[in-house]
Amino acid sequence: MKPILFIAILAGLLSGCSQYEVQYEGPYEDRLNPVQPAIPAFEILTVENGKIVLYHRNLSQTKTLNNLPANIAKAAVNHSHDRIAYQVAGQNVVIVDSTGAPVDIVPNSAAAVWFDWHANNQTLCLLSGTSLSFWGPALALPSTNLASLFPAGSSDRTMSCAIVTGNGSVVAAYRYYAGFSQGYQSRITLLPPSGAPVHRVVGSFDETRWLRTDRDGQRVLGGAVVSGSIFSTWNIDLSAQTITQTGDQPFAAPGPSPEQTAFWKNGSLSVYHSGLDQWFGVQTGQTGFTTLDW
Amino acid sequence: MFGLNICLSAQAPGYLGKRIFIKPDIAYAPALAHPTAGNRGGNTYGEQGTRLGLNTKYGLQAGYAFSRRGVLAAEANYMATGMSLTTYTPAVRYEGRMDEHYLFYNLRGPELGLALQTYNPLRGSLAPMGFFTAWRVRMAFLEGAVLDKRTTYFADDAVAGHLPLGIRPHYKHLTLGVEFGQHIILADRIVLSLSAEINASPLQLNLTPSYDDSEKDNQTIFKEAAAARMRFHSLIMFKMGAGYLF
Repeated sequence: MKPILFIAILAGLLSGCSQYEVQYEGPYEDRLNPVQPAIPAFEILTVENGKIVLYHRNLSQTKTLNNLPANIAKAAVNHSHDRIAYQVAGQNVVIVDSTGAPVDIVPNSAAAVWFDWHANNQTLCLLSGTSLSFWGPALALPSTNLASLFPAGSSDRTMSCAIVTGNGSVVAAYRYYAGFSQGYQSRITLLPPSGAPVHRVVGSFDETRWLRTDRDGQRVLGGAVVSGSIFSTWNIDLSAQTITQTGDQPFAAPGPSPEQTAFWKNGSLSVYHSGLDQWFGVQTGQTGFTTLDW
Repeated sequence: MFGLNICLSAQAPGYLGKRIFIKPDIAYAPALAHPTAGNRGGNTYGEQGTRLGLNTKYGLQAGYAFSRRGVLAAEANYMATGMSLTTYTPAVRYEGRMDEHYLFYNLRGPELGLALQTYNPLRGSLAPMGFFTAWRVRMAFLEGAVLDKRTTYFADDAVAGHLPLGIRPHYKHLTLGVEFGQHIILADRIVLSLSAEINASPLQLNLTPSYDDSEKDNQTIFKEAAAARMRFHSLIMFKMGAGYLF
């Protein structure tokens, strides 16, 4: 027993005596790192159960604007993330800063069915009926009335979304009755600054509920819903002037770079980076999610 | 007369009436190819590695024989081991891109534990002497320190540096264990011990989900790596000590 004890104690002592030999950069501590992170910017906006919730771009931190009404239906954040527009159903659109402090109330905007920020970060584009209006610097468009997009002879016309992109294109989503043989048609139209409009029928009973553009005005995403439970996501490529279905997420929003996109599906908010083919996400509630913007 | 003698022969707890012992001890665990406090083990890059390292732990144990069969023991230890992990931070000058950091951590700190040692008088043991089985709960309060780092910068942009890792290197590890060993008494006062422990961590069993590391935040990566390292580190330990009987 004694030799075993002796050998074992010696082995134990020796094993604790060897010092680590540095092979790379050596010891490291965050507090000594000269590069320090910028203050986290809350860039991704959601409306969850009537509340505006802001997420850091890596989804690591959240901030709920509890100083705003608890029954918000829609909201949009500008591309510099310092202005937010929101609307309680049936009321005028309200502009606040990123802390929720009031900036302005958009007059006569209670009937607005869609609104989003232009790439200039100062102009809010609002759609009421088939007319576009602006809060902030007005945008030069050939026409702010989009009624001409509906096919001649169609009826039961509703326009759900319209936005103006950074390059002056207008993208609109609308639905109409095209007669007995075709029935209802749901369409997205890209109206470039010059040239012929590009139409794409996205379904028959589908209703496009949202459109979002990136800050460069190169990419627009749109989302349609069929029968309340089936969703389709559409990519409107302004350069190629194409409109294609890309996914089935209920909500999506283009990120600050062409490779980044935020998605919401099945109670999970996630960010996808196409260049790295990386996903990361956080859980939200399964229900009560009504808006996503980045 | 005879019958009376038989009735009074039951032995009192303790060795010759001495019930208390204090015993410094040393424990070591085979690390195999895993890291130790001073060696990264068989690691990703493999420039230096060991195939049979030992993790060492130093401790002090105090026990009281409350019956012929049982000893209640309290212990305090200091442990150290190594841990390798890979974390990521956003590249400073390339939006959406990541720098990768291979880190070698020292994971060290105190441990506190309570143990119930049981002895079987029918097999010649008498607390605190002879063969025993101990049941133990132990908590380790660990802190990590980066001893070595290897950063792979996106686009080789080392000039820009990298963002802080954002790791708070604190980790608590709870284990339940069973120990089999023997106490030998020398010169009426000296107690020598040799034992083997098996430890498991019941609260960490479901800690590691099957995500890619690049999808996790660095704090989660650190905690999961520490949990995994400690699970293996304390799984089997061999222990020896020499103490004093009171």
